[in-house]
Amino acid sequence: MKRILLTIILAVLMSIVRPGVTLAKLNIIATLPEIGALVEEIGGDRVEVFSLARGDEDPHVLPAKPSHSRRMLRADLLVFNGLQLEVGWLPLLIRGARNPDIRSGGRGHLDLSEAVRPLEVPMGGADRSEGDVHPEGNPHYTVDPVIYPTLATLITERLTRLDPDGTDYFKSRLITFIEDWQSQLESWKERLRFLSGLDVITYHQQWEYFAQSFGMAIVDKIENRPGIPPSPRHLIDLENWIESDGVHWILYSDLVHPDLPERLGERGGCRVIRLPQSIGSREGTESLVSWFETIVSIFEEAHGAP
Amino acid sequence: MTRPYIVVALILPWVLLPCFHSLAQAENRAPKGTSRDMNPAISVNTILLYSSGLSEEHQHEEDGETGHTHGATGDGFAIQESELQLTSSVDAYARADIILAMHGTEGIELEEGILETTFLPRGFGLRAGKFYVDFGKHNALHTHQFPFVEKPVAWAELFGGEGLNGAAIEGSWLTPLPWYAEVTGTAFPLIDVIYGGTEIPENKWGGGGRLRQLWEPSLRSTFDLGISYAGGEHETEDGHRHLIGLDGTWKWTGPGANPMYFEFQGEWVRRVDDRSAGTIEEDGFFVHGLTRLSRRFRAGARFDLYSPTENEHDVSDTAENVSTTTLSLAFVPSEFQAWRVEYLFRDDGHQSDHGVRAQANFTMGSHPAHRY
Repeated sequence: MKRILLTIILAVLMSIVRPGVTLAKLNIIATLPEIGALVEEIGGDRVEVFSLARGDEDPHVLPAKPSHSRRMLRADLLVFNGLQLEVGWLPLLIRGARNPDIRSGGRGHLDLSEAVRPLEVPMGGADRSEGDVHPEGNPHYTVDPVIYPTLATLITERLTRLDPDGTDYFKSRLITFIEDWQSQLESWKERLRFLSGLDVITYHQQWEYFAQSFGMAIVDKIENRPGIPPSPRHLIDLENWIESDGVHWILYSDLVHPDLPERLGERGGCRVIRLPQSIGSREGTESLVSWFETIVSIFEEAHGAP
Repeated sequence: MTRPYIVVALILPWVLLPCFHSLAQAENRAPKGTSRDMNPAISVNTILLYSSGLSEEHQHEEDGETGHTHGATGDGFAIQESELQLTSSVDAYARADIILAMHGTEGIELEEGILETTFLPRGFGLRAGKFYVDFGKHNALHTHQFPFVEKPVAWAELFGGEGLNGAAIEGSWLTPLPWYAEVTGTAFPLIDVIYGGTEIPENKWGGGGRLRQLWEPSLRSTFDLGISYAGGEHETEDGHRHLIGLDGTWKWTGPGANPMYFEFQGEWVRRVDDRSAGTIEEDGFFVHGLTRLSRRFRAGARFDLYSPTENEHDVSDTAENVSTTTLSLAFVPSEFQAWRVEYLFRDDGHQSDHGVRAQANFTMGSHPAHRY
């Protein structure tokens, strides 16, 4: 009983006597694992990062576990994808955390999509008959390696504001990150030159940013309305199109059940490629570099295969 | 010689122009009431219901009681409820939810109207208005959130048709303990919340509280445990009414885009009317299991029991326990609509009977996410 009482008293004291942000590591919550990894790249030893979504979870429909709100209670910074990717669960977690710093308008509320020019913004508004359309545009920009230096710069700017003593540290890590990343990026672009001009079909509207950066053309989607299973009519149309040799590859992510894309590829005689959509969605994708390296290798393998 | 009024006429526009320009700008900045940017998020939910069986008024002949029902109110098709919800930030310090409900096709009532602080630090929160008091799991649910078509019999009997809902003020604290632990304290006029608007004058206040804790035994599962209390004194007699509740939930959610899940939940409530003439004790519980069969199909089963318990001072009737078993199958094409079919078997100690419910439940607009 004494131990329980002591724990409660300590908890109350912890909530009242909060160490200054400059004396402790910044406590940072990221919604996606790749965002968390990027924050760690910049923040280094001066940050403690927790990612809410795991690589094998769908960020559209993450369970809004109250334990996540507890983690966010003491967060100095919340870094999220935005463009309404997390709209089904993040507002509930922010509300439950009762932490004014990470609410909209707070100093610890960072929407990374501020640094992104969104693709596929619906003209004339969005309607649910079109499926789970994101009214602010396609939110899946984190699968594009080209965008990471911009995101890293935005994160650095916010970290320096929250922890001014770490400004030189963060900026130095940013420079190192961008140099290393640009070098990797040039290598990946060189190795993926064959993507330019390829016509592909994707399962979900997830690879648009990547396709734009690497010159692929996404000519259609299996999910012709996002989040809604395709109709038989649409599948027949796709099959006919693939058979007429108009499509090179079908792309889908680890989150998707392989039955439908694999069957479509088999019927149409088209190569089907499964890609890791996030850090940690499969073994060997535990860091930003290893994740994109895996994607590049998968494309190379598919290109080299007969 | 230039006439002075000509000079004034030439100069005045240049003097006044900036003023007019400022005025025009101010007018442009002034709210005209036509922008939609600050409008609240609006959603409408409607529930259509077909009931057959277990809904007719009946009488326990041996008790000489007047007729009563356990559960739904009538056979046939009906609009069970429609709900209009408005949600928005009020300003930099508060947010608000207004929920208007129409039961059937007539009459609109304010189901919830909540002003909630957003500026309090360290995990503290404050709500005021009319809302479902934080008591257990089931009481906080709106009709369209019910995991089964009907609420458990004990919840209808002990909390009334509207549940523990009324004007109230609530303080909450999300503690910084190493696990999720949230404490809530509520004060409310008894007339609204505990007694359902009968016999108690408006100036009588009651209170309640809840401790909810949640642990993550594994990456994919959570275990949720809650204890709740609500009560207040009687106006007409020297005594109190107490409501006590315990609830527990275990959830498991798998990986992937359409994850498999399992949920097992149990909740027990007890109502004690402590009067000078004696004590009336009633309690009830439910246990349910829910799972996802495939992308679009869900299944569930529930057993609930209502016990109007007697004791040595019992002044209640001698009604028997009422138990209900419910089996449910739901077709959920998207998160915005669900079609459910349920089979119910009920035994109230005097007779047993079967029933069927079919329900369509749809939502339009921007509806906030539901609590975990």
